[in-house]
Amino acid sequence: MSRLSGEAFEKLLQTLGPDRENAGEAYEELRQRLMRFFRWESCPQADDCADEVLNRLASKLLDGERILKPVAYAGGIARLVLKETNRKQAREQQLPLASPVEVAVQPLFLTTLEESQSQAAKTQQCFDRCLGELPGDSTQLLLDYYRGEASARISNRQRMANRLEISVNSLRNRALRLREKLEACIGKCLA
Amino acid sequence: MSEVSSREFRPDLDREFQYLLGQMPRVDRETFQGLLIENAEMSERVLEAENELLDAWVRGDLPRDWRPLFEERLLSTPEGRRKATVARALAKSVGHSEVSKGRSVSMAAGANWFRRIAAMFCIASAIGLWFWWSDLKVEEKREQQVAQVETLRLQAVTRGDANRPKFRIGASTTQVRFGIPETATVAAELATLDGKTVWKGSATDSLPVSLLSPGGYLFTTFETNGKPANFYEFEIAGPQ
Repeated sequence: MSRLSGEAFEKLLQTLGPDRENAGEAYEELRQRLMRFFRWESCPQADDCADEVLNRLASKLLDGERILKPVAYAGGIARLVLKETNRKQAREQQLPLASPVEVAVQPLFLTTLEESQSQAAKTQQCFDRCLGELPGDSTQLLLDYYRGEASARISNRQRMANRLEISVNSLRNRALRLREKLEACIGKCLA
Repeated sequence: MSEVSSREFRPDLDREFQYLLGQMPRVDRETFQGLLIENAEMSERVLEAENELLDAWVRGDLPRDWRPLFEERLLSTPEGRRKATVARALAKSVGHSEVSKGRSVSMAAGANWFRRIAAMFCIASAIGLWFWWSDLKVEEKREQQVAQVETLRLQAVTRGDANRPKFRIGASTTQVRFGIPETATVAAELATLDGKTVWKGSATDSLPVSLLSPGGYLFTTFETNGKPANFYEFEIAGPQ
């Protein structure tokens, strides 16, 4: 996977926004969307795939290609990278019957999704710490937003939005951002 | 608590669930994929749908027909599993904050009247106990759900290879399914290594664990024309 040169990165930023601050935000937003996309498509390394898309987009710009809608263009590259990744995985995993293959010795293991108790305790510790680090009344907003079961959440969120005098969409975006922030903090804490 | 069907589960996010669970027709899916990058609103709606699925899964409320699809698609990556652990911690915290909120309200209301305090405290304790009990039941339900179906991840191997994967089935497991690299739903057959057919069905089906006694097995997938596509050998270990 190629690395993005300083020059290519600058070119990409210039295309994404009128000034450095806006362009930086647009870059981060696009990267987040790409990472989500690759996660939803079950790519094992979603962040690497997202970076590959941004690298290819920047390289095109550096080569002088005129791209009027860089985000839509990135979408096209993302679908291409996804196909390449799927093909590569299929090649690696689907070994023909008669070919002489070496299969790694797999240890005896249980394919259960349950964490060990110590891991669960550590996750909970990190969760509590990261929740405490959220600014102001964000903690309560997050907990209120994710309270209740799926159907009850709809009316609960409508009431919250009315109380805060914002739209349900704005409330959703706030809660999603907070949850992503919390997940990133826990990820660092557990690393 | 009655089980929610997939039709009743947040119908406003139906299209997003279809995408996440791989139930969207291919042409629609390709269009949808493009929109996910171009359109921030779409991306956020899918993120919301993903969180709803994760939260329902940790509570044990995910519609039954979605569970295998969800586990196969969204818990197959390290990132997906990490999100699930956060969802679990969040579900716990939401439960706890409900308990503490109930207590603080009751204490404030009865500040000037000792008997009232006592009464309210009893009520709050009962609420606390109820939340604790529900939390425990949800936890039990989720653990049962996780423990019942076990996925055995297989790799295609050369027939007779001594390095075939070996699995020991958990004591609480009632069903197993096979995790194979092929994505299309195909017919499959499970046989012992000496050729005795144990089971036939779709490669994505789960089957009763009682069919798998200790020993070697051959799992064969078939193309739509009935020709064998891939062979997966594995071994089931005896109880510890």
